[in-house]
Amino acid sequence: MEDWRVYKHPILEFERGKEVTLYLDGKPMKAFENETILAAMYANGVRVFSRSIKYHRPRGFFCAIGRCSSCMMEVDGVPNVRTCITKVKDGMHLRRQKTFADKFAPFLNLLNLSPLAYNRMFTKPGIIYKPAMKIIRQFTGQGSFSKKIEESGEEIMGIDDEFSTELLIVGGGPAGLSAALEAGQRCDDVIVIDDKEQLGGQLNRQTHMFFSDVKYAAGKRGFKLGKEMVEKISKLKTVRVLPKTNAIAYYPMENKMLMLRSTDRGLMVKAKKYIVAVGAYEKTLLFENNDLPGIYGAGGVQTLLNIYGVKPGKKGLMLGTGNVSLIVAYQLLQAGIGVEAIVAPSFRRVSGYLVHAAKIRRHGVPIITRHTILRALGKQRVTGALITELDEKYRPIEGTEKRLDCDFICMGVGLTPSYDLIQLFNPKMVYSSELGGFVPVRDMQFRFAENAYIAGDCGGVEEATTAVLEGGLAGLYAARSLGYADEEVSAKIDEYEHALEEDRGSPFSSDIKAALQKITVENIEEVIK
Amino acid sequence: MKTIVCRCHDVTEEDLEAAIDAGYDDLETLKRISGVTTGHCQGKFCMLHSLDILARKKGKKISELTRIRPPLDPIPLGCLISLSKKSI
Repeated sequence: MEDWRVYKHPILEFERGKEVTLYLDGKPMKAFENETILAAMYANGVRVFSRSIKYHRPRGFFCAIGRCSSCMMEVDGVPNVRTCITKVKDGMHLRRQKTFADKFAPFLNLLNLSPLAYNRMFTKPGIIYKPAMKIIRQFTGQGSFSKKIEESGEEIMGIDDEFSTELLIVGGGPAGLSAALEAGQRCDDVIVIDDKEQLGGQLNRQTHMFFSDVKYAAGKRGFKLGKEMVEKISKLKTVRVLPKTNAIAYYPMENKMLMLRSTDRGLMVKAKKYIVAVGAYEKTLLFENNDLPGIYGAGGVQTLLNIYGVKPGKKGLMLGTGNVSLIVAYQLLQAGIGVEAIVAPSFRRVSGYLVHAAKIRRHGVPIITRHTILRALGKQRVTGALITELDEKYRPIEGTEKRLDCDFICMGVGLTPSYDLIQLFNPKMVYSSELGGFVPVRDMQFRFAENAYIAGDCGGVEEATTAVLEGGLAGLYAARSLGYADEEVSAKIDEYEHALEEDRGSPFSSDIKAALQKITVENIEEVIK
Repeated sequence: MKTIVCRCHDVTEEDLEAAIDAGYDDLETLKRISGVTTGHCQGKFCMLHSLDILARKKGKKISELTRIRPPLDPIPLGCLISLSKKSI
């Protein structure tokens, strides 16, 4: 079997650990203990992880950060496990999820029923509705439960099921880590939670240097910065880190957050203040066959390639000319993977930094603007793409279709802030296209609810450096409001505020700055319902 | 050939357009008839697209967001049971 791992990389060294064996539908596969299930399967050339619920279409992964849920499989008898954030174990049994309903999917596909039809089926006469539903229910659902009842999860050292803390930070990316660092030096009890095993978020997959001359991050490669921050935090006795823990709910009335350990254990936390730094996830594009295995988010490709050292394919097509897609295209080239072209509908030459674009052109990769993708080609996985030219009103011009050969397509069309946890705090949500999506109205101290602060990409999509600065500030603001106010804190806040102002000073950030000003208010109490 | 808006529940662009034409023209009713934003990912990837399609069809700007309810991620029932045992 072909091995898709990268063994020689100019910047990165992959610590894969010991070799283990996995079983996919009974067949053994070689894997390494530091890999996720997703990375291990990709390294072994497996591309189809499951079938979709209604049309029975093949599904691979998209985001690789545990958000999109299209990589779910049955792992050791447990259905719907997100393989992209679950680490492998020796002798693990994986199964592509199959249910009773799957057998009928091809026939139902032929009927091609719209959801409207499904909702009106068997509703008249009233007498057949109940018995018909009983039968139809058998045809639905994804995966099936094992007959064995699982023991409840392992105890976590030193933490009860219900506990309270001063400050709870949700998200261990650049903003969350930076907040934990600043708050941890001042407060008595800080908890950081993250749904992955390794903290660092987007920093872990960034191999490029940060441009900004802000002294907190300049000239460092992202993954090194992340490691440094995690190390510093581990030295602080006041900060407890809970990896593999999701924030599931927040109840404003009871002021509690329910969390989950990956080993089936529920936790309840009551914190005096919350910092929400849940980051952002990728936007998608609508085109025909946009769910084929081989169509990924740019961040997903970055994760697979830079963290686990597994190639997503042999030759890719990149959509979008923002910084993310330019950087990812360059990183693909670094790892020895071909890039067919970079395609974008915009009329500007590139929307990212020209330095990145120049690097890519030097490698002979064409940047095709005024074009958009029409359709992904292929049945089980991507084998090519059809692109077309656009006129001034962004309508496709007929007869300009062109076929490009590639075995994966990477969408780098921007990020959208993660809004779900934020919304549970009942803030006022506003749509802002400059900031990527729905963001809460906040005050000058990043407060968007009475007891919660926002920091990083989830408050408006920017860069890792701004996330670090915002996180630090949020940590300091929270510490100050918790009663740890002294001259040193005020001086540090001034320093950070100045650095943030400087970082947003470039003309690139003027739109973002204006958008942020629009959603920042003097008095947050007036805005919250 | 299909353009998928919601990967979790296999909702296509045409499905949504048909539903909007049939009168389900706000997100709350649209999600109840088509299943969009109610899958495993809880609308992380289809929310903006369905709002976009709604806005385009009705000629309005994107403004409302659907109501988010816990749990934000799929969780095993055992996790809830372990908590409820404590509180009883």
